[in-house]
Amino acid sequence: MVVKVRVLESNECIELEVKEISVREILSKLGLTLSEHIVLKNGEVITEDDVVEDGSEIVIFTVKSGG
Amino acid sequence: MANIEGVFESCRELSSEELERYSRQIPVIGCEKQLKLKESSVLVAGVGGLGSIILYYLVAAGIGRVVFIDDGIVELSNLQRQILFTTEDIGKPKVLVAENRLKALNPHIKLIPLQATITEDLLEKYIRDVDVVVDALDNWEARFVIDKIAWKYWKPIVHAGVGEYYGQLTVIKRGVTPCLRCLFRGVKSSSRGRVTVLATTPGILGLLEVNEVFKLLLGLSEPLYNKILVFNGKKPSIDIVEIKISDCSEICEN
Ligand SMILES: [Zn+2]
Repeated sequence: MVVKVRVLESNECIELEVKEISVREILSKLGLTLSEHIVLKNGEVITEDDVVEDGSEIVIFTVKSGG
Repeated sequence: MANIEGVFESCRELSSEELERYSRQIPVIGCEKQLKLKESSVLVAGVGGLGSIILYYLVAAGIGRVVFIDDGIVELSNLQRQILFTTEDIGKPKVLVAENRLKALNPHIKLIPLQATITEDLLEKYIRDVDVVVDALDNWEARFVIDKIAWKYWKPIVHAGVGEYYGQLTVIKRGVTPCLRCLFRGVKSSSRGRVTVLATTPGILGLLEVNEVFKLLLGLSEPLYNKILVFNGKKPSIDIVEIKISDCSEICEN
């Protein structure tokens, strides 16, 4: 029962032992801000209230707004 | 000059001055593609860290017509990364300083400087006549305005954003990718903050944007459609993340 999370910024792969977890909870566990990160579940963009089930592959990366 | 003209016999539409100017590029891309650049029109939204480098290279490489928009004036804190401006330019409108510098760089280019904020009305006037829109903005509100109007007229947007050591890059095109708003729907449309960034980050991302412009205009290879390039200058590393197309037509057609 794991959700695999890859964080590009730190190049870490983390396995969360949960059955399901919301995007908000994942980011909070990792200490990442909601507004500056994009979360992909199997390649699709998901947002804070979306729930990730066990077996999903998650990629998280930083999105910057400056120019 | 005569020699170069001999080499590029087929480049009759370019003057001998232009043939010499682009003589290190024409052997790479060919005469037809150099002419294609000359016949192209690009809109650059924002003349900051990204915009400075983007404008320099678009103009140097021979894009025929360049529209650029910014309402700002040159500030001392810009000079650490905004390479179009010098200490003497502080207090002057960015687009006017940029125009002078770019005219001196390449007098063949038709420059259209617009000292204005990004609004739907303004973009309605200018987006129709350009081939590519380049996002060099520093806030999401303005990005979503160019997203809306570019989508309406089926114009591709080359997007980048930067901060600290990091940046991301992608290309948006109606019919091929989701719109910018759908792609970055998790991102909060927060108001313009103070950009904190290592000097090189906008330079690198700006050049990658120009490279996508060339790919789009010249058909060199598939642009970064449905892929987000994520840059980390600390390492440095570049990751390219593939995005599955999610249907965003309901949101975008509005
Ligand atoms: Zn959309």
